[in-house]
Amino acid sequence: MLNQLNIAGSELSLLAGVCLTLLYGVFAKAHTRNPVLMFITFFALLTAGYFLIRETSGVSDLFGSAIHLTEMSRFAKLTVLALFVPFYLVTVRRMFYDLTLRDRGLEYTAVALLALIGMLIMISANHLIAFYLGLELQSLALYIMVAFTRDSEKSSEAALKYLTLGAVSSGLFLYGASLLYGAFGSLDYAVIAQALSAQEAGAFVTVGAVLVVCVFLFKLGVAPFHAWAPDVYQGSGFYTVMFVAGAPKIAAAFAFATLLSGPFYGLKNQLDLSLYFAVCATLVIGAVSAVRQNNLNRMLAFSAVTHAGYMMLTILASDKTPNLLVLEYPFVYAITIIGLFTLLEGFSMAGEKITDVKDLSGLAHAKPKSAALLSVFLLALGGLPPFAGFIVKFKTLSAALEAGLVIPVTVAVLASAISLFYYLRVIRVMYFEAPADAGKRMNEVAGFYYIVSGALALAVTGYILFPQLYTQAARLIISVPL
Amino acid sequence: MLEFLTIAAIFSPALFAVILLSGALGKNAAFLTGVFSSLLSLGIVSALGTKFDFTLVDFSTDIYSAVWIAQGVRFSLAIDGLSYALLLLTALIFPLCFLSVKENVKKSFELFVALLLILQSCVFGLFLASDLALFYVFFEASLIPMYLIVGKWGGADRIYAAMKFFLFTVVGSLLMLAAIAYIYAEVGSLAYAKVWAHEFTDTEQKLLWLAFFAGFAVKIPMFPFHTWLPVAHVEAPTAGSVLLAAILLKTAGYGFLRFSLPFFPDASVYFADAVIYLSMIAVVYASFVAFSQTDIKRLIAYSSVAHMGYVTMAIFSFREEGVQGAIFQMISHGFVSAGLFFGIGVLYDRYHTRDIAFYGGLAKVMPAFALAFMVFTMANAGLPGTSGFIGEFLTIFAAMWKNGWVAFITATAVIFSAAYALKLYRKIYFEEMDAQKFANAVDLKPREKVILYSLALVTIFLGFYTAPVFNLTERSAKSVIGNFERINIAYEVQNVNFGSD
Repeated sequence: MLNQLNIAGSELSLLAGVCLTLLYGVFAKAHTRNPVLMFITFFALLTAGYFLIRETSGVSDLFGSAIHLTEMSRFAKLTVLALFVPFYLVTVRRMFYDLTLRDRGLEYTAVALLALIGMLIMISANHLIAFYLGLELQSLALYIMVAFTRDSEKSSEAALKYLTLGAVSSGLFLYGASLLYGAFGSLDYAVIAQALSAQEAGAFVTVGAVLVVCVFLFKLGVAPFHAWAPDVYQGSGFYTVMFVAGAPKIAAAFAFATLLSGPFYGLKNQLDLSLYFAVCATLVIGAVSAVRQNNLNRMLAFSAVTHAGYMMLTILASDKTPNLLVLEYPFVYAITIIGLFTLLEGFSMAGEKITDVKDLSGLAHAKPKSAALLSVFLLALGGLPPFAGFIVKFKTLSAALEAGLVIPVTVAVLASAISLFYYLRVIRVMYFEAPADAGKRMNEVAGFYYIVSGALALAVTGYILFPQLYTQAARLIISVPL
Repeated sequence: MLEFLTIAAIFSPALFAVILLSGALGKNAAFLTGVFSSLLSLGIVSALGTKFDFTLVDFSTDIYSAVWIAQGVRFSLAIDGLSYALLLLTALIFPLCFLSVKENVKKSFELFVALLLILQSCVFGLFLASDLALFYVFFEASLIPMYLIVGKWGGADRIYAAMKFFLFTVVGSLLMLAAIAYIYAEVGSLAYAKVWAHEFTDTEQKLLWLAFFAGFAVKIPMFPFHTWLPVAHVEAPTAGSVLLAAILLKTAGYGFLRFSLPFFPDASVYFADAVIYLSMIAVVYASFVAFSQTDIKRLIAYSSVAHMGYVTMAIFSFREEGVQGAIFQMISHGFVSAGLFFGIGVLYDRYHTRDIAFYGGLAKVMPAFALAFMVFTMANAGLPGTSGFIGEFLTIFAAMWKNGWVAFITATAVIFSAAYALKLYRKIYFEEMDAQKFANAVDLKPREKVILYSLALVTIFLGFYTAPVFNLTERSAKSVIGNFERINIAYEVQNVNFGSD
């Protein structure tokens, strides 16, 4: 039994971290407890990482086979953990220096860790109900994080919309799962896969599967389930968006790829057409809607929708096992967007209000370093060489073409042309336009933010020279050829 | 050693750019860094030249190759005469650019120099890359510095110009990216030799050719995709215009020769007529439009469109002399257009207007300048004895084999080019001089003299002695044309068109 619990070692150590955090919070004074909190969290992260890196002794199933840990899912979990680090560094900085988060850092930390646990469960779930538990844990935690700035109307509005839409998609999922249960008598992935390979799927099963798929589309922000994204991005603080935009995408993408290449493989014919349609719609809606956004976060939300289209391409390009790109694309995207938001968070901590694209005008004069860093991240999001975004875009396009997805790829290329327009618009505003208020001096951004986002910018740029870095890291964990 | 030289050629400018971007240097130091780096690059490129016998080297053998994105997508570099000729052109133009920028770039000087250096890295990289994805990276990355140069240091309408330049070229090259991704999915490798050896089906060839064409036709630019060029040229600062005309347009011509023709021979033949007619239209139309311009830079920009029309026409004649002519025309136009734009820069620095009507009679007060500009004007008009003549002559000669009427019309257009070039010269340098306006006219400063006279010398030198270029590119031209030999034979047999034999 102990041996089996090793499989959930990472989740359990994070859970221990949450418990310790909460317990400690009971006894310590609000304004002095942050250093210890930071220590507990990083310790929990390290332990979780340790459980994932070390060799497992052949056992990979837990709770029957509800949790199934493969080498690939171990690597996916490590990726998610790695993305938590820059996010939490930025959060800690805020916990130390910002009053709103100083006294409530405890709750924020605990909730973020719970979201993390939820993602880890989603990644290794091998049973629709186990997946659902992970999903709900993660979603509820995210709702709280989005609503965290209680006195902001936007934040509450965003959280409420997110919650409502999320509840609808959860409902769809449960309904679909119940249909599948009726058909197969089990929600275990292996059972579903076997049943579907033995016989053609009936209408009930197809409907059930489509409803189940909806929740993944919702989590990834794929049209027509993308409507939450702009409001959530606009309503929550940069430090929260940084989290919402990054790691959950990886968990959802990987879980989705596992589902499609495993239990739902037999439904390929029934699902593919609607998924192609969703991909094309996502790419077009994301690219076209972003063009008209003045609010920076809303624009980035629609850009995230376009990127979700690309993530879908990596998922559809997978065959019987998830393609490593399913992890690499969102990872590179997350690194880029975290870098971008780190810098914006730096501005917001310095008391500079940046909400609209216009607020950045003339930044190249006032803050050449920030402008250069932001440009790097924006161009990387646009998939221009020589930045990491290009590498994953190229890999995605060729993988998708190899899988025969000619039309979605064509749409993806056109969408990426349109999306360059609005990334360039921001660069234009920063470099070519004069500041709106020329006399005003901008507050100094703390060096900490330059270091974090600079390091991420270096990673995003250096990736062009070492584009196999992620694959090589994966090889350390994954022994089967990729 | 070779590996080191090629890699150093690509990365040394970028390295200096990083030093500049770190903000450690002042304006003077930045200027010196730019000049030093570009001279260093020139040294490296010259050293590279001594290591090869360009009558023997072939682009399908890599100098350096390392796994990059995947096993089949490698960081591999190769060189041949065609690459080297364009590398040398780049290495020669850049030092002149750095020399010119010191006084006429007012704001953020260090950034400007750094961007030029990054651009140089990209251009070197794209001429040396023997992997399609690597080529694409450099091809596309070169847009970013150019976008910033036009948008930040350009004229009144710079933002519009920069956006138009970027979006036009990026849409074209994204289609090319899709094609490259397709080739990778199909061939499993993007290595030059492997893709060349692969036989694509007819439909594949046509679609891929069109996608590559989209990338290159916008960049070169061909009629009717040329509309971004006049705008970008007019608004760009002098050094930006020079690099755009002298180097960046050539990257597309290089792309046609290096990739489109060898990879998709049947599609190239299939679309050749269309390209040749478009080129003919470009030559004639752009010459007419140039004639009616009132803005000096616009006029030169349209003349660039016309001259690039010769290049595409010559390339798609599929004859050795045509390809040789196209390469020669690219090299020649590199020097001539650089000279013209530097010349306009000289005027603009002094009088801050590009309006042709503003000037007049400058030959009296600026004789040294008038002399240098005369050389470029004559070369622009294709006068024998200047480098401009050789390429145009070979183009018309090659076109003759394909279609006599096209050759006839194009040859007539040479007269139009003389008309607009001479009109420009007459208006600026002869005619009545407003003595008051130009009372304090200053002739060329030493720095400007170095720039303009060295370019003028090269222009005349190449007009009389073409061997350096032709020896360099002969083998490349032969290897590009190899596939088309049989097609040409077919043409010669049934050629009953006016003007053949």
